[in-house]
Amino acid sequence: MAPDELVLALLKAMPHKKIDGKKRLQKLAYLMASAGVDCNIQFDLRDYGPFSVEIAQAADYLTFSGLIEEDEQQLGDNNFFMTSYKLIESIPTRPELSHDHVKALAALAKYTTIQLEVAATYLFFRNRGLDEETARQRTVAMKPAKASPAVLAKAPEILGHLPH
Amino acid sequence: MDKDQRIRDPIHNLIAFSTKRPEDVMLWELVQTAPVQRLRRIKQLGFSEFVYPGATHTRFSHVLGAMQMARRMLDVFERNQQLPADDHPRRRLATLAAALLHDVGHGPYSHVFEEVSSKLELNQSHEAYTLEIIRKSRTAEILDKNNILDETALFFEQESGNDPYQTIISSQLDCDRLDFLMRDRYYTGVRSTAIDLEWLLDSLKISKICVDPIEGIYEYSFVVQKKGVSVVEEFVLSYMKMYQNIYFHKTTRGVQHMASDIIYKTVSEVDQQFNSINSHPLITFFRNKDNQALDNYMNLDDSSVLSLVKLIADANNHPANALANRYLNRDTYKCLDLPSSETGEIRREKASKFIEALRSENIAFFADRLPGKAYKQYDVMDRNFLKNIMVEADGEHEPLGRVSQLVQAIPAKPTRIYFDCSKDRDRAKSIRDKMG
Repeated sequence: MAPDELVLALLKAMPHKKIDGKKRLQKLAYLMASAGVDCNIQFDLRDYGPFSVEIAQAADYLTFSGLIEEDEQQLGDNNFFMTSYKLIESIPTRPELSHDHVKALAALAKYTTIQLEVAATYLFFRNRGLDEETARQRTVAMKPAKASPAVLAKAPEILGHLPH
Repeated sequence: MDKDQRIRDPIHNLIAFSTKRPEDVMLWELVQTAPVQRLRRIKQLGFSEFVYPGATHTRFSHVLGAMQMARRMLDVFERNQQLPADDHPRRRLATLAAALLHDVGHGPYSHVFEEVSSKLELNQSHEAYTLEIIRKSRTAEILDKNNILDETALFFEQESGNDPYQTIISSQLDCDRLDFLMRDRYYTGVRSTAIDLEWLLDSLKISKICVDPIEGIYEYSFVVQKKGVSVVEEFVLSYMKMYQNIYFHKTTRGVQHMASDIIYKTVSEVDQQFNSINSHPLITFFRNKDNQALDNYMNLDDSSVLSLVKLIADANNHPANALANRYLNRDTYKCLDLPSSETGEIRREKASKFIEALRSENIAFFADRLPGKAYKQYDVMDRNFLKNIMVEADGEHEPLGRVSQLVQAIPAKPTRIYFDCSKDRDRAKSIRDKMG
């Protein structure tokens, strides 16, 4: 899948065909790419965990092309502004994600973006060959505020939803 | 440093280093290192000089400015008792070092360099090089001697928001942004949207903001006191104007695309007849993973790009020869801005039809995709970035986007399409105009 196709496929698979937040889009893309979705997309570790310039560009291009809708929302106690993406109903999407990946995305819907961010960061280190403990330590070192014991404890649960 | 040193600077007037202040002695020593001196050979605004001939200032002047800006911020926050007392002198020193060193990992014409690197699937970003330089080069010895190596590296290894000092180096109103906005405005000659820096700094507080109420996660962030809302609005306006007129200028972006195409084409199409080009340091760096170590990277600067383009322009049969000559003579790709004011079904339908029409007319084009997110100049492309600057009033925090009508009206980013020549662009424009 090309980046554009992955973004469309993700949106199609989501409840309400919508993803709230650019960060969330990035983390879901990374988790799916790590879980065997056939795509050759480069992710680097940036401020908020694994990030792909190609995914960011794809979201922008799809918005420009009229294939997805970009909207602004305010969420949380502090009413932070964030961007949400929604698939236009009439747009056909090919290829699509497998049944197992769609099921995983449905399961991931209940986690907060920060929980996904920490889990994705931990997975990034594991994918780079670090053992569990070292990956955990690197995640905590990088995100001391977010990677609290409670949040980090969710990471195995989150990753357990991914198809192998 | 055997005597006091002073540097004249158009933004900060005087940047002074006193032998009586140990922090200044260390900072001066860092200024003399090869990684910092290399920044004299890398322009802050890359190809912007194609549009603004005065924009030739270097990253060297900017990092000195960012360091001075950090000093000013630290002085204000100390005066207003915004920083913790524990270990403050060391934390202050590490913050100043981080401000001075924050750009040492930049490659020549950074945006283009990283775009080509990304196309070639080279994984190391300029931030990664910055960290490697801090940890490994002569700078590491100086920082270690002053017991701040780990503290300084932490600014680049750790997500910001974990402590108050990090807000000075990485936040919506950090020393980097404040310096480059003022500096770039000065050197390009832009006259509008000045920032009242002293009032702005005095209006800032460092507070803990809740970013996840479910997990109880808090991060340190700058918060603007209510008295500072109008000056922050000026900052936002300045950022927007600079982005529209300078950082995302259509001609500058066209030149960036052209330079990227020249380098990428040369790297990826090997032709044995062009020995001098094949052995050029920039080409050998990109082609051979064994040549991508830090030492070779540090040998590259803006002259590497220009010398390569000159070689290609002189090589008549080279595949990128025509492009190289166009670059040297400022015959850039041509741009068509698409209106971003239409919303909903109208825009979507028009955009799809327009692209379809270009393809059926065999008009080659490419959309101006976002540059890599690592560049702060482009942060403002995400409207929410500035809208989420927090304002404090009566003990409560609210995003600037809710408080300020001016900031609510931040326009959408433009959408651009580039064509090889003005003839293709004019044909495309004609198609678009007929669509209504």
